[in-house]
Amino acid sequence: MRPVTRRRLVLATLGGGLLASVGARLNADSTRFLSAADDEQGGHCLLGIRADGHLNYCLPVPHRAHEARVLDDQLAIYFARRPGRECYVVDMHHGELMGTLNADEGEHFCGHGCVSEDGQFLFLTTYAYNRRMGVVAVHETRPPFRKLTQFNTHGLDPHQLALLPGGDTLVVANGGILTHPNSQREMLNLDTMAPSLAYLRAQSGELVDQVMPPHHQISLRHLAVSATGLVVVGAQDHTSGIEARPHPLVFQHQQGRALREFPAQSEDWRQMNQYIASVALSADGRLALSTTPRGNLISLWDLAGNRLMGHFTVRDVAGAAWVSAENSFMVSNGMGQLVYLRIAPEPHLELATHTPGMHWDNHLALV
Amino acid sequence: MPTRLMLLLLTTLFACTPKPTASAFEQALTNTADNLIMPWHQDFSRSTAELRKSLERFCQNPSDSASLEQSRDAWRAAMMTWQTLQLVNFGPVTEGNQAWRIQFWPDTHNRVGQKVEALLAAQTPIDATTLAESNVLVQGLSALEYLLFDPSQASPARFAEPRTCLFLQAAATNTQTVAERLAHDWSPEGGNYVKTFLAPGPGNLAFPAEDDVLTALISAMVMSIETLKNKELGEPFGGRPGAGRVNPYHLELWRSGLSLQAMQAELAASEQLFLTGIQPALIERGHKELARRIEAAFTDSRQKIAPLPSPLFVHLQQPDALPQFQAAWDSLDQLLPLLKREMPAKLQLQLGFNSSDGD
Repeated sequence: MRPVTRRRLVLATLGGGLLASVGARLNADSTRFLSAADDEQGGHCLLGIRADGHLNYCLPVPHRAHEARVLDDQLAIYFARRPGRECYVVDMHHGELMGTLNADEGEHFCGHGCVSEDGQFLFLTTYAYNRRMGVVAVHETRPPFRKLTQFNTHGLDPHQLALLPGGDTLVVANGGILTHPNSQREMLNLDTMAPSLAYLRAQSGELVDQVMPPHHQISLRHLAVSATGLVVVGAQDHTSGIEARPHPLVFQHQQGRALREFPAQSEDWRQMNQYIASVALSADGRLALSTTPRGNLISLWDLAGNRLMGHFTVRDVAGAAWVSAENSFMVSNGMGQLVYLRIAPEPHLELATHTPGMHWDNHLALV
Repeated sequence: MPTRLMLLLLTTLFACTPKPTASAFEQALTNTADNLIMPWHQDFSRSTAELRKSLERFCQNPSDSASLEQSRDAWRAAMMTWQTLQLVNFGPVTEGNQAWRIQFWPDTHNRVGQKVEALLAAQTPIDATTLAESNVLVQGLSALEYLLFDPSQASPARFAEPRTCLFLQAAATNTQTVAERLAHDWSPEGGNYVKTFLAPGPGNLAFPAEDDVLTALISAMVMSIETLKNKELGEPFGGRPGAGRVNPYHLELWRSGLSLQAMQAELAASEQLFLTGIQPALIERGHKELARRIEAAFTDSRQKIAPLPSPLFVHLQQPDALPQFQAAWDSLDQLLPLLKREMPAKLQLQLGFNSSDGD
């Protein structure tokens, strides 16, 4: 456990007070999407976005964030982009920064986290660089966000994580890349990297399953989990000279079984330029979406039919979320666009909104 | 009378007043479409049609060496128009990976050759329709280069084999189809992507703001010059001239001996795009000095690349030519940061936010 700074305590108390005074309402004015962003001048901010694309808040912060998650009806957390050491807690109703959750000495965050089903625990992927060890840091979900424990992820460079249905098991994508904050984000172990998908007991951190991608330079980074526990994984491939035979970049996995690549041709993988930024699943688990900003594409996958349904061009696209109310995926991009991928009658793109001068960062979260 | 005179004057005055003037950038975009992008597509369509016709003639008499030379010339012409057009890396060409269907490079493991051999050795039918559904490696100009120019290939016996000529014609037809499709997709009579390109605005999914078109143009230029410097000039030298092991088989278009001409065509295309489409915006926004420096840097690179000894495949390993290669590399190394960093910073543009994220 680490001591809580005075500032954090003050902010935390304030947060608790507001929590009691404001009930949870979801109407047209409510924040429906969360994202980090950069503005025209390169300043970093945290966004709360309404269903119609209007920005409810845009909070300037010193460090770039990555993914965001809702903590409860009122608070959201924006996870530090690696090698950041500071996650931001925001009051979504008032659009105020409530405080920060800081990494321990010798550790930094990796951009992602998730909340236990009972809302009590926050799991954050963390890199203990002094020990060269990927860990899941377990924190309380309420101020002052005390750290309770941490688990070994059994791999370097843990990135996105999620809970399987039932909430007892965590699945973590270990990117496998060795970095050090002093060398910024330089990859130091391209020859020996060992990415994996690891399943851990959420209570104890015990490793219950682990699978590796078909090549050691396929860094598994992003994932989404269906209601049946199917895990869809998106990768970034660091193998060079494979233009003629590109590696697969999107996989599916069911705990206890083998990792399976999605059905696609070399042409399809090649278009993705060795880089998947996000994956998302429809609520019924029948459809998956992957985004590739380097290929300026989103790809729609039919999981039930085990086939690729098609690619759609969206420039610099990255963030993705399923919006049940619209029966559509929504994606965000570096040009400040939010775009629906409508499923019916035929899959097609529809511009939702555009915020000139804003660069939506890597992930889009639905409130 | 005075009233009438006034009226006349006023009428004249209004007649002379131009319509609300397009901004320098709008005009530059129109010029880019009218004078570069659209004609480049037409040139490519025309040259690939010529190539198909030429190969059809050749295949009527595959032992005719004059006819083979004509087909090789037609292939060179088609490849050179592609070297210019490939700068346009946005819009229809991105739908279904069209660029790879036309040219597959880098190909360090000679996969193109292997795939062509496998196809020729098989019993499967060879026609343009089948080819269009096949691996991109066998679909276009790269596969044709292998058969028309590879030292191990271009023998009369080889061309006498029926499947070889079937393949030559199918690949040429497929390339022409791809070329015509691209031209059609840009054309106002077809997919009208030119309208998308010329009308940035909130409802435009591809280009929601003028700056997004500008960003696409600059990104295209940066990608082209980066490829030119790092892959086409750097790779055959193991990274950069003088730095590593020289391998002429890593040159682009080593078989046809067009490596240098291709570099010149690509650089010229970028220079034209800069002068036509980007420089006016740069000047309009008050960055005349930077515009002048970039123009000078293009000139310098052009002058440093022109005297390189061609074919590069033959001269790459000559020690006395190394300073020339280094000078060309250094010049591109000066040009690139101007395009990639200084210009976007001055224009407050971000060349790929998520695409350069690495998370």
